[in-house]
Amino acid sequence: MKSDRALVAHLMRRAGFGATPSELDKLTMEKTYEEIVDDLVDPDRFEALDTSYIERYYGGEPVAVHVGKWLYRMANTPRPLEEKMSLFLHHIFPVAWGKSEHGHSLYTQIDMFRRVGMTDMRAILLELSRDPAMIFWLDNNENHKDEINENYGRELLELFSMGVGNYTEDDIKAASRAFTGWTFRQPLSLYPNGHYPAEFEFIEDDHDHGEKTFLGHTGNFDGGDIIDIIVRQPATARFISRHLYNFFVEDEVQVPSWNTEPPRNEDAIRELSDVFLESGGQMRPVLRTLFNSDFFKQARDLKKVKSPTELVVGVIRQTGEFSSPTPGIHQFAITTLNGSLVEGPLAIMGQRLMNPPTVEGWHTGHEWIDSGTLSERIGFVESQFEDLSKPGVREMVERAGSLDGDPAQLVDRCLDLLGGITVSENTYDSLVRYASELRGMGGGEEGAPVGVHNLLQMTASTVDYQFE
Amino acid sequence: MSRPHGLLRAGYPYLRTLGMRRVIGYPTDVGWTDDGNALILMRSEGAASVRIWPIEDADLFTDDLKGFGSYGAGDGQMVWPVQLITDGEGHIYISDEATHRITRFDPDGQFVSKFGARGDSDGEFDGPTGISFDPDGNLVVVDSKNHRIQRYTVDGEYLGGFGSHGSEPGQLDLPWGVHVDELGDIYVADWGNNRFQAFSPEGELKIAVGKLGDGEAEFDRPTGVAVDAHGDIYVSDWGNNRVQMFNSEGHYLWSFRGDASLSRVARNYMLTNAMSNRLREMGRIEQEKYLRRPRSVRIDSDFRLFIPDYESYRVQIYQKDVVVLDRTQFAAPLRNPTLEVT
Repeated sequence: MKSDRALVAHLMRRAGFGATPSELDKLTMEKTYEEIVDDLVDPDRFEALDTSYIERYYGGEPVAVHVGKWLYRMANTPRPLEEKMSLFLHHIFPVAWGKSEHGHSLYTQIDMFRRVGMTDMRAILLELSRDPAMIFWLDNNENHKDEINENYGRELLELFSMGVGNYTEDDIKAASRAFTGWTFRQPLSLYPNGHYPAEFEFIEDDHDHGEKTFLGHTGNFDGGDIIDIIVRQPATARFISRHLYNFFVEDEVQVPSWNTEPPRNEDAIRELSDVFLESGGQMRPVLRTLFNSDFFKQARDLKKVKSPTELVVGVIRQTGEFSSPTPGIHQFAITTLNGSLVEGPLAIMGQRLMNPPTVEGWHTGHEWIDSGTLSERIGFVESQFEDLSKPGVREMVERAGSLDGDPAQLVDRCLDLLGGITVSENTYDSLVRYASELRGMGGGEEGAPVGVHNLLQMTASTVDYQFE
Repeated sequence: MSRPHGLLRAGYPYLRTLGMRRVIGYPTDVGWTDDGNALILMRSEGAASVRIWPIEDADLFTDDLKGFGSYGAGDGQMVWPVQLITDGEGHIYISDEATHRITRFDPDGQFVSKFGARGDSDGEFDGPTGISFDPDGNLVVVDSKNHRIQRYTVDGEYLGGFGSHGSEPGQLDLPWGVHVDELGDIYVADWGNNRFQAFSPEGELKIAVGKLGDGEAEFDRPTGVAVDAHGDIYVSDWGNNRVQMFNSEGHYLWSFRGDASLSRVARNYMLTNAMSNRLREMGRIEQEKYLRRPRSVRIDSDFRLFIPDYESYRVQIYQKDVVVLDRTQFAAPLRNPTLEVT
């Protein structure tokens, strides 16, 4: 055993969407913890999923279909951190389908996040500023040299890079002027042939080429120059570091409070910020530092609430139901906003992927949870683990063993099989009592060990499973 | 009908467009009836059915649409339908790679029978995709995830098969479409290997054409294959958004990239949509004629080439225009190229 199983399980839950028992066997046998981190932050070591294979099976226009394809990617990618960073960027740069209803642009935006998410902040912000879905979402297509629209310029500074309190209204005006003429070519209309892609277009005649002063720098800046200045700011390093900490390590207070509430772990934010600034905003060294840090390893004992997406993808990875293309994955994402009469589990749990509520995105952490969403979460997990014919469920039940031995050891194995999760002492005692009561239950159909299956299902249905 | 000695290829003009968004959804294959209708097989996540549409086109919109089938796993339903063919009596056969079965409908679209079960033994499927009739009226079925070709009676009795997984000549990787010509030769779109292959009725490899790329005789995930009565071969080239055409020897002739004009129903619809018309004017209208992600190609006995234009909600149709040549009009094959002009 080259690495600690519980720690690697923690890493794979946070940096990816969890590991199956077989994956944990292989990782811990073959690699040290640091080697696994190196693999995660260097996704090019692994072949990317074949897009044509996904498109071969999953077709259609509704945004739920696009979300379904993304869920499939999250569940099956050999590059889990690359996909997790796509989700991270969707969280902090949220664009909603509801404004444009142009699902194609939303899906290509996620492709862009996947492409640049592991590069550097300059490339990320530049691509974000050229992205048609973002341009339309924050009205930069209406930002003309003779009629400035400050919406994108304002959010770029307030929500996407530096945070409130680190710039002035004049800086917003200067940034907005620098992004005039950054628009997109009109795509063909939905009728008669369906959506066509939108493409970035820079209209030089509509760009304000005049002198601007931004954060103390003066010049004939365009959008790229503005981003260059932004990325060099300590405030940006701190803001992005805090986002990374909030997403990967520990639930923070909600973003609007960040200018008044200090970080939960000031030292950690300082450490990440330093690497960010020293590397020029490179994401890989920052992520490598984060995952190798003591504060990350110790966060295994912190209760971080899974987002609905993390919960759903983690579950379907464990059940194995969608380990190859299978009909129905889009049903997790169906929303009434797309003309359906029903809502899928993601929507009921409060996360319509590709359709966040506002430009602030989702409020995370404990705000995911209320009595309704908790009930949905637990019911969802229980139902997903119900079917013993799902390959992952069957494997876990087989590996868990029989009820004949020590009930505590059986519970330990179930916790390990579900991704090395930990539970509270009360929960643990209850599970051990339940395992004892289940003794004596006979085999089910085809000899299936009903009792062990029930215990596994019960373990997955605990509140503790809702934490990363 | 025997194959001609040669052809004077006069051209391959565009004939017409069928359908638009809202009347046709994600066409994945197309067949036809004896009374002049196209049978357009539609598939997307959570939706599957067959639209019946006049090949001469129609003015219809949402009222009076004809079709059959629905999404689901029950009899007469479909989940992931792939291909559709009709027999001489007008019966319709549809493969479904999710339910692992072939379903037969009567000419009115009523369920008649089904066969197939998941597995990898003889007579079982794992994702049946392409289907075609052989000259004896039996069904040749592509068993995609088992990487093989199987033959059945129309009642589902297993008659044999061939094929194995791999990239060597004669092997298959997630094959998709199939066509059996009048000689019994079996043409397969070898999706994962980016080529098409032709086999004798006994399964011996005759030709293999293609590799990954976007040039002539190169493919990016070939999906469907069709062969006309002259022996010309058509392959829908999904990732390159085109259909490539080859002669019977596998020599590349040309590509169809799409020439769509507005169908009749689309013209009627657009007359009442001022904003859409303005957006088309502002956009790159040239894009509109091109194929997007074709999943099949079919050709009928009148040499009309049907291309279901999957992501553009329509079918594009071309009309082959040739003159058949005899031996006095078409020279014998040359081994060497020549600069001599006669």
